Parts: sequence; C-alpha cells; structure tokens
Amino acid sequence: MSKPILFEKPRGVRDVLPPLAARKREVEKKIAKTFMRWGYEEIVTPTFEYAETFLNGAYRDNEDQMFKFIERSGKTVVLRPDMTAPIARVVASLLREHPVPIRLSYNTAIFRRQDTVSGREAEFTQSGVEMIGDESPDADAEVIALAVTALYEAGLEGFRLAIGQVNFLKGLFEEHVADVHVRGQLTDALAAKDFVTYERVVQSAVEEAAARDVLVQVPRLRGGIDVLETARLLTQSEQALAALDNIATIWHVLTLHNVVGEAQIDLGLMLGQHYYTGAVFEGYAPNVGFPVCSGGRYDDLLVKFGRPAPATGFMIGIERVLDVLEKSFPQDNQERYLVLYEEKDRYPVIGFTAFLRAKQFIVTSQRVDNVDVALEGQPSHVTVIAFKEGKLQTDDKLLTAMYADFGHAFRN
Amino acid sequence: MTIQALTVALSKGRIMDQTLALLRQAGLPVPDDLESSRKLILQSAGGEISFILAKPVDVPTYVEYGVADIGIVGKDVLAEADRDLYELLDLGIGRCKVSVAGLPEPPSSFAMPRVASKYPKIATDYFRQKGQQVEVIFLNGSVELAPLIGLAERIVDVVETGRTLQENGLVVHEDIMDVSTRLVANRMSFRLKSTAIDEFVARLRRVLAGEGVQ
Repeated sequence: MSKPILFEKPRGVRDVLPPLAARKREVEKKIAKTFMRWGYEEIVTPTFEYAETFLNGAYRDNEDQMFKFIERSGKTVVLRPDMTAPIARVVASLLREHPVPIRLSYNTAIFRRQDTVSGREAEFTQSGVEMIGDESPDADAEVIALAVTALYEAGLEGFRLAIGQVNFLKGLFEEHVADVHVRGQLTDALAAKDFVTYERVVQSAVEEAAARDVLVQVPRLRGGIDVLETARLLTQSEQALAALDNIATIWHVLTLHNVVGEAQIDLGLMLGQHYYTGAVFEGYAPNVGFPVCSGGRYDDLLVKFGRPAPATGFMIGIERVLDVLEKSFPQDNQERYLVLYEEKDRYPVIGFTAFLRAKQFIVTSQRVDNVDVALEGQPSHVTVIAFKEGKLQTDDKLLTAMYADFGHAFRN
Repeated sequence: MTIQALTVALSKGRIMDQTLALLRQAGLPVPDDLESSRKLILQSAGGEISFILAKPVDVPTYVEYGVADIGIVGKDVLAEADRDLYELLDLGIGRCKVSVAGLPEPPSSFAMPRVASKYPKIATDYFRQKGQQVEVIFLNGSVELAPLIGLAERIVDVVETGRTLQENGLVVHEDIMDVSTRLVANRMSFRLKSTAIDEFVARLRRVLAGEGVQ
C-alpha cells in the first residue's frame, strides 16, 4: 500500500467546487420547499447509528455495504446507508405518541461502501419523504405526484416514472408456479433486469404450457392504463387482481394530480430491496443512465421497530438530478460584479456595495494597491469595475444609475 | 418506422458478422459500409440509428452510462463486467462456454493453486462458490500458455470448439457457464425510449422465432 499523496481523497468521495456547490444547494432548496408546501416536515437524524438499526431495515442482506466502526462502548456503529430505517426508528420511539399519518422529509448525506464505478459513490445526497400511517392508494399517489412535482421544481424536464406492484408478481407467481424455489429464481431475475434468464427459467422450470405462456408476458406488461386490462386476463389470483385494482386507483388519483403524463405502468418492475410490499416506482431523466428517484410502499418495516404502521416514501438522488441539469440545461448565471478600490476610496465604495447587495446584486468589493494594475488579470466570469479618484469607472448604465441613486439616498 | 434516435453499441470481432446478418434479416437499417468503414460511429441511411463499434469489454460500460441505449455483447463479457443493465434478448449466436481447463493430469494436490484467466471475476466467484481457495491471475490474452509455462495449473477461458486447447495439449475439466450473444439496454433508455426499444426487440424476436436460429 502506498501512502496517499498529500491532496488525495479516499475512493468514492468528492469535493463540490463553485459554482456547482451553489447549484446543488439551490436544487436542494427547491426540493425542500416543495416537500414543505405539501405538508412534509423536515427531520434530521444522526450521521451514524448502531448497525442493528439498519440490519432491521433494508440492510439485512447488504451488511457489507455499510461503513462500520467501533464506538467507545465497543458496539458496532455505521454511517447511515439510508434514511428509511432511522425515520422508522424515530416514529416508533420519539414520535410514538404522535398520531398518524406522519409526513416527514429529509435532505442528507448517505454513505455506502460499494464499487465506485458507474455513478455509485461512497457518499451522496438524498432528498426524500416518508409518509407513515396511511395505507390508502391516495397516499401512494400522493408521494408519486410529489416526486413528479419536486423533480419539475428542481428544473428537470422529460423525465418518466415507472410504477409497478410487487403483489401482482407475488400473486401471479404463486398461482402459476408451484415450486417456491423457482418463484425465487423468477423474482431474482426480474430484480436483476435479466429477462433472458427469466424467460429461460419459465421455459425450463414451469411445467404447464398455459402457465408458461402467461409468465413470459410479464416483462412486456408496460405502458399506459390499458396494460392493466391485458394483465387482468393473465390471472385469477386474488392477490394479483387486488394489486391491479390498487394500481388502477393510484392511476386514477394521479390523473387528478395531473401527473399521468410523466407516469408509465411497468408490472415487471421489481426494485432490489426486499422490504417493498406494494406499489413501487422509479424515475428516469434524459441523458443520465441512472435512476433519479425511487420509492414505494413498505408496510412491514415499522413493525420491526415496535410500532406497526403502513408506510410509503421515496428519495431523489441529488447528484443525479444535478448531472441531468448540467447536461441538459446550461445555467445562465446572474451577473456578478467586482468593484476594485484603493485605500482613499474606501468611503464610499463599501457603503455602495452594501447598497447594491440590498438591491439583490451579487457584488464583491476588493481593496487593491493600484486599481489600474489590478484591472489586469481579473477572472472573466465577473464584471470588473474600477473605482478611482472618487468616480465609478464604468459604462454599465445600470450600475451608473444605481450609483446615482446611492448618492441621492446617502450622500447629500 | 417507430425506431428513432437510438444508439446501438456493437461488439467488434468474433460475433460482428453474425450480428449484422441478424440485424439486416430483422429489417433494421444497418449502413452498407459498416464492415468496410474505419469509422467508429456510423449512422443508418435514414438517421434512425447510430452504431458505435466498440471493443466487446467496453460495450456494457457504454450502455450502463447511457452513451449507448442498446448494446450487443457476449454473456461472458456481461458476467465479468457485472453492470446494472436490462438483459432483453438472447440472440442465440456466438455460442460457447466458459470452462475450467488444464493439463490432462493436473497435480493431485495444489499447495498454492493458481488459475489464470481473462475473466478474474467469473473465476473468483466460481471457485468461491465451490469453497476452493485459489489465486486468480489476470491475463489479457493467450491464457492457454499459462499451464504450459507453469504460471498456473488451470485456466478459466471461453471454449468454442476446443481446438486451441487441444493443440496446446489442454483439456476441459469443468464447464462454468453457457455463453451466447445478448441484447442489453440502458435503464433510462428502457423507459424513455421504450417504443423504439420494444420495436427493435420485437423485430429481432420475430427473426429468432421464425428462422429458428439456434
């Protein structure tokens, strides 16, 4: 192992420099504002917690994805690999007496030990919501509509959310596949998005020809509301039919929220996490190959923390959103001003720049030894203005007018 | 044609001719000069599809990052790359196996068993699952050489006809996986370009079913 170079960083973490850091903050603010307007209240939980909290949640099978260390008591603690488990813990403990439904939101850094190739960082930012204590399809539709609204507010366009229902697949597999082991193989293949293996398992391990004909259609069950009618013909399973009814209702509520244009039904959608129990969804935007948001219903998680309650929610990957924005919509920056002055002009320059800031200008005052010399070599992304011999040296009409205003207001 | 603005990454080399034959049979607009040209990006005559000609190992990368919507590549490369992609279709061409091979009578016990391979991930996973402790040595080519010069007792490599192995006095000990050429799609493209991708897949499916391509 070679010693790190002085300025080297561990793999998977990164510095966010200007102007990207400001844009990131801006996107987070817009999303947080949207969550707030829908009545979701922000929550902050510790950066690290006992490993058990997460093993109780989605990380049962992904233990090695957690950054672990030993706390002074000798117990294992981890940097939070998601926000769902901490929120479930809080709702079941500190907010135990708080009546449901509870609507919470967060914006926070998430840490995962994973291969640092291909858009999977070790530290990244998630903004999301959890809606606890409402099992109605209206709650599912609410979080989907909120996801769409938040993505629009963040500045995205042309994105699409795929909606699935894990109970449809569960019911369908139980109806048509006798062997539990084979059901597991089919589920795993769909979760891995490996339709070739899925089809192969169907053809080789399912005995009835009729069942095979039904099952091979699953990956192609995607599109608009009419997909549900196609799917209805494939099953008599109560669970699967109830799941289709559930999606139909969610779709209807989404039309009232006016967001079906951004939605697509995909009954083969199987998100990796095993804890999902109902409608699930995942969002994609142009030019970025990775999902920008994902979420769904997880009615069995809260009970593990001692307060049984249905729940749904989603998270938005802030870096992914920024990636789309940088690629698709070049930012037009607000003009920035830099006023150079020498010692003898300190008054009025400092007062003038304060006046400009109060008028929403972005302006920096910089003392220099010699204004003429300092004018050379200034950065090009700011408008540089010299203040010399008691005068503002500029043809910028707006700034000249502002200086005149300033003179009238403060310097008789 | 409902196929618009699709970027397809093709694997150069072994499976290229068969891939192109299949695409043409499916009525997909493949540029005539694709084989003869030295360009790395080619447009179909109507501009519907851009073809990227890539080294096979790079195809999964292009598709995962979304610079190509669709890729055509062998299962061996996919398994080794372990990328998050949609695997949509088995094209049934480029059939071979990834196998463990070595000298006909390998030493009965290995003090420090070594396996040479172009597929370190496949090899490592396979021996781990079997509970065997081996050292996997990554080689870029001529893997058959390794047992002959004593670098490793065994190799993990693709075996098509077995001729190369035979000529070097090696035999297959175990098969790890069946390989054939797959059609993969980017996760974002699978959603946002679903009409074009569905049509692309449907056309190939018709050829595969109708002609009974094995």
